[in-house]
Amino acid sequence: MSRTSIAVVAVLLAALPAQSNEQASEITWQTDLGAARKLAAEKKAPLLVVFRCER
Amino acid sequence: MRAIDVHNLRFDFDLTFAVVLMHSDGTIYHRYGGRGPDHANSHLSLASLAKLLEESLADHAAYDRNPAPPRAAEPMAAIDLPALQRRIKEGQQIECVHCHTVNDAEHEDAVLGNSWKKDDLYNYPDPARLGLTLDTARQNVVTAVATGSAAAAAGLRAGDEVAALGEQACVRTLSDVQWALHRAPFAATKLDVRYRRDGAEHAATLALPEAWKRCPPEEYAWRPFKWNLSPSSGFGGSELGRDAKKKLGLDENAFAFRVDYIVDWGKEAHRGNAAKAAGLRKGDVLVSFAGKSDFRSVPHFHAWVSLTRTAGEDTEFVVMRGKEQLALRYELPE
Repeated sequence: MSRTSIAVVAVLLAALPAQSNEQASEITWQTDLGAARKLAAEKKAPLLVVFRCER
Repeated sequence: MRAIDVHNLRFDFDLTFAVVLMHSDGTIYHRYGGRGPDHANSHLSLASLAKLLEESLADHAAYDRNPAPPRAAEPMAAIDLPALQRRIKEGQQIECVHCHTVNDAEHEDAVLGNSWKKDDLYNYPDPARLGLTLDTARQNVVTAVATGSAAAAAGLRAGDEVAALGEQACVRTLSDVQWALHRAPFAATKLDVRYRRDGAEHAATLALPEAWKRCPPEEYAWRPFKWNLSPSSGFGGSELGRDAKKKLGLDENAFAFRVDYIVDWGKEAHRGNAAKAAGLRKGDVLVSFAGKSDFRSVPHFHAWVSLTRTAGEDTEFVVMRGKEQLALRYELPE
C-alpha cells in the first residue's frame, strides 16, 4: 500500500500562565501529557497540545 | 499518540498537524489545524495560531471563574486500543502510534464489533458541507456562502464571524467548526449557530438534510482513512509528469499514473491478484478507470473508486504499455 508511515509523532505541551499577555512568554515544554496537566493545574495555566505526524 | 487518552482527547486524527488548547481538568477550549484538499498546510499560519493563543488565554481566565469539568469517558491510551493489542500479540512491534493509526484501529474494532456504518467515514466535515467558506487567516470569518446552501437559507453572509456552532460554545477556528460538525448526526438535523455581524450577535438555525456529511471524492482524497475503504483498485502509483506523458503521446494535461505497485500481499492480496489476473503489470500507465479519465490526482482516483463504485461491478480500465493501449477488465475487488 502507498500508506506512508515514516514518522515521528511529537507531543509537545506548553503551560501558559493565564493572567496576562506579559506572563504568557513563560512557557514550559513537556512531552508527557499527564505531567503537563499536573503542572498546568498547579500553575492554573492552560495547555497547548501540539501533534505533528509525518507519514 | 502512544500514551494519549484517545477517548477524551479527540481531534481529526487524519491530520499531520493539530493543536488542542485545553484546561488541565480535560476541558477542551479549541482545536486548530485542518486542511484543504490540496495542501496539508493550507489552513495553518503563525498569525492565526498566535491570535488563537492570545484569545485562549482570555477563554482560560473566563473558564477558571466558572469551571465545569467535563464528564470523562473511560480512559483509553492509544496503544491499548484492542486492534493494536491484537497486533502486538501477533508479534508486531509498535514503537510509535501515528495519529491516523488511531482511526485505522478504531475502524477495525468497529467492524469486528458490527458497529461500523459506511457513512461513519465522513469525519470532521468541511464547512463546505454547510455551504460555508471560511477565511484561513481569521479562521471563523465567513468569506463566501454557497447559493442554495443550508448556510444561505439560515441567512449567513460573507463577513459574518461564527461565534458558536452546535456543541462548540465558542468558535475561534476552522477546526472548531469541523468539531461541531463532526459531533452533529449524519441524519437530517438542525444545528444552532450564533454569529457576529456589525458588532451585534445573531442566532440562526441550520437545517441540514439527510446525509449532509457526504462529500465529493476530491474533498475526501487527502485523508489516509481512505485506505480502510472498500472497494479498492488493488494497485497504485505515481502521477506522470508532462514530459513522460508527451513521450507516450498523451495530452500533457491528461491524467495518467504509472503503476508502481500491485497489492498482492497481506490481507488485501485478493485485490492486487484480481488486477494481475486482468493482465495488469507493474510499469503500466493507467489513463482511465470505469470510463473516467479526469482524476485530479492519484489520491483522488483512490477516493473516487472507494466512494463511488461498488465491489464486484464489472470494470474496464485502460492502460498504456509502451505506446500500446490496452483495455483490461475485472470485477472491482472488495
